[in-house]
Amino acid sequence: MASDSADRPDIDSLVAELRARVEARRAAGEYPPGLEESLEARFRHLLRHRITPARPFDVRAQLARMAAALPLQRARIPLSSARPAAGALHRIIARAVARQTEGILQQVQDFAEPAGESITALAEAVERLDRTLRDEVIPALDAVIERQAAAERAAAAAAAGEAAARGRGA
Amino acid sequence: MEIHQILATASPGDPVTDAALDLRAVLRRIGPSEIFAHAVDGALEGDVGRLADYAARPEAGAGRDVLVYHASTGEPAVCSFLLERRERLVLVAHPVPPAVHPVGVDPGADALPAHGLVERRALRQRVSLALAVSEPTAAELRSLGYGDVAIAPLPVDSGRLLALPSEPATVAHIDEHLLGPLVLSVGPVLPYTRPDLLLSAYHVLVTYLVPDAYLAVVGPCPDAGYRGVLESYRLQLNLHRAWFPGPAGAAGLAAWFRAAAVYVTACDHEDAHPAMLDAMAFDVPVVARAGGGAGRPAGAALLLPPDDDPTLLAEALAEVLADDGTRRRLVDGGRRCRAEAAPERARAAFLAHLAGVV
Repeated sequence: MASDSADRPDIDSLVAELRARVEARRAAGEYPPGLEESLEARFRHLLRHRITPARPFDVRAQLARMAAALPLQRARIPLSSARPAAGALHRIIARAVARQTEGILQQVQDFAEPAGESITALAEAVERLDRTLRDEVIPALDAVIERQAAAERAAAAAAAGEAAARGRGA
Repeated sequence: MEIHQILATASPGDPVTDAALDLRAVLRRIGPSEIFAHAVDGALEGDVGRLADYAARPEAGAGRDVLVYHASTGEPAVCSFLLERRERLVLVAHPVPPAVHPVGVDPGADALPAHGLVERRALRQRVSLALAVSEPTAAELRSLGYGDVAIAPLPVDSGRLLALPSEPATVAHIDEHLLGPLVLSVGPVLPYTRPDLLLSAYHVLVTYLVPDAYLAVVGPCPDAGYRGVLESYRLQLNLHRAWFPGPAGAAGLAAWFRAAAVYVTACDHEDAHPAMLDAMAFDVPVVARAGGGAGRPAGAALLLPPDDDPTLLAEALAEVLADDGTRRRLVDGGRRCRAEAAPERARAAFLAHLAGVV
C-alpha cells in the first residue's frame, strides 16, 4: 500500500488537533462527564443480556382473521366424515339440535360483532398514535434537542471566550 | 496443466471471492482456470464450482494441475481436501479475521478463525509457493514455519464499480430519505468491524456536532442476535437516521458511494481495506482507525489511533464534513493511494510469483 507520503505529518498534526478539540469540549462541559463510558456501558449491558427489540405485532393481520370468522353460521360447521355413513349421522344430529345451535351462534355473534368493532377502533387509534409519534413528535423532539445542543454549544463557546478575555485582562 | 483456485466460501461482495474472480480472468489468458469452493452462495451457483466438482473432473486424477488456495478463516473440509490432493499447491494467505463474538448461535463459526492458523501450519509441507496479501500476514506465516513468503496484494478493481450506473431502487430510497450529509460504512456487520463504535460516534456527531448527519452501514449481518442488540442500541439512542440496509449488490454500492459525504470504518482489521479503496475511487474522503497497521493507506485517509474513542471519531467526521481543505487533501491522497494500489500491479505481481512454480 502507499508508503508514508508528504501528507502524513499533516494528518498526524490534524489528529493531534482533533484530540485537543475533544479535550477542550470536555473541559468546557459540552460533553457530559463520562459520556464515552456511559455509551460503552449501555452497549455492553445490551450485549451481555442479548436485549433485542420486541417483534412488532401485526394487529391488522389478526383483525382480518377475526373478520373472516364472522358471521358465525350453522352452515359453516362441517358435517362430513372420513368414516362411512358417519356423515349421514352428523346431518341427523345437526338437524335435531339446530334450534339450540342457532341460539348459541346468535349469542356469540351478538358478542363478537361489537367486540370486533371495538378492537378495530382501538387498533386504528394505536396506529394513529404511532403515526403521530413517528411523523410529528419524534421530529419535533429532534428539533428541540438540536436547538438545545446548539444553545449549549453557543453558551460553552461564550464561556470559553469570557474566560480567555479574563485571562488576557489579568 | 491447468491452474484452479480454491476457496472455503464463495459469496458475492466478499473481498476474497472478488479477488479470486479477478485473478481467474487473468489466469484464463494462460489456460483453463476455474474456482472451486466448499460453500457456494446461490448467486454464484454455476459460476463457481464445489470441491466435489473438482475431484470429479477426469483431469483431476493426474495431479498435474496447480491449485491456488485462498486461505482466510479456516475450513476443515478444505484443509482435508488439500492434504489429500497431489497437485502443486500455492497458498495465498489472507488475514485471519478475529473471532466472531459468541453472541451468535453457531459455535462452529466462532471456532473457524482459530482453525485458520492451525490449517496454515498443517499445510506447510504441502505448499510449493507461499504468498501473503500484506506484510503482517506474511510475518504471521513466517512465525508458523514458512521460510520463503512473498507479498502479493489483492487486486481491488474499484474502476469496475465506478463505471457502474447506480441501482435505481437504492437511488430512489436515498433520494426520498436522505436530507443531510451521509456518513457511509461498507462491510460485514460483525463485532470485529465495530458497528457499536460507529453508532456511538454517530450519536456524538448528531447530538453535539452535526445534527443533520445520516449514517448508513451497508453490508450483511449474518448474526441475527447481534443485529438485534445493535438495533436495541440504535433505538435507545434514538438514532433513527442511522440505517442498516443490509447487503447491496455492486450497482447498489455504487449508489451508496455516490451519495456519501464521508466514508468511515471503525474496523481495525485489514479486510476493511478494499472498501476504503472503493470509497477513494468515488472521491469520498475516508476516516479510519489505524489499528490494522500495514496495508493502510498513509496520507490517503484520516487515520485515527486504534483506541475506542467515539468522541475523537465523531470529531474527525465533523472536521471532514465541515472543512473543504481537509476534504480536498483526503480526496487527493485517496487518488494517489489508488494509483499505487492499481489492480494491474497486483495482478502482475501475482503472475510473476506464480511463474516460479508452473
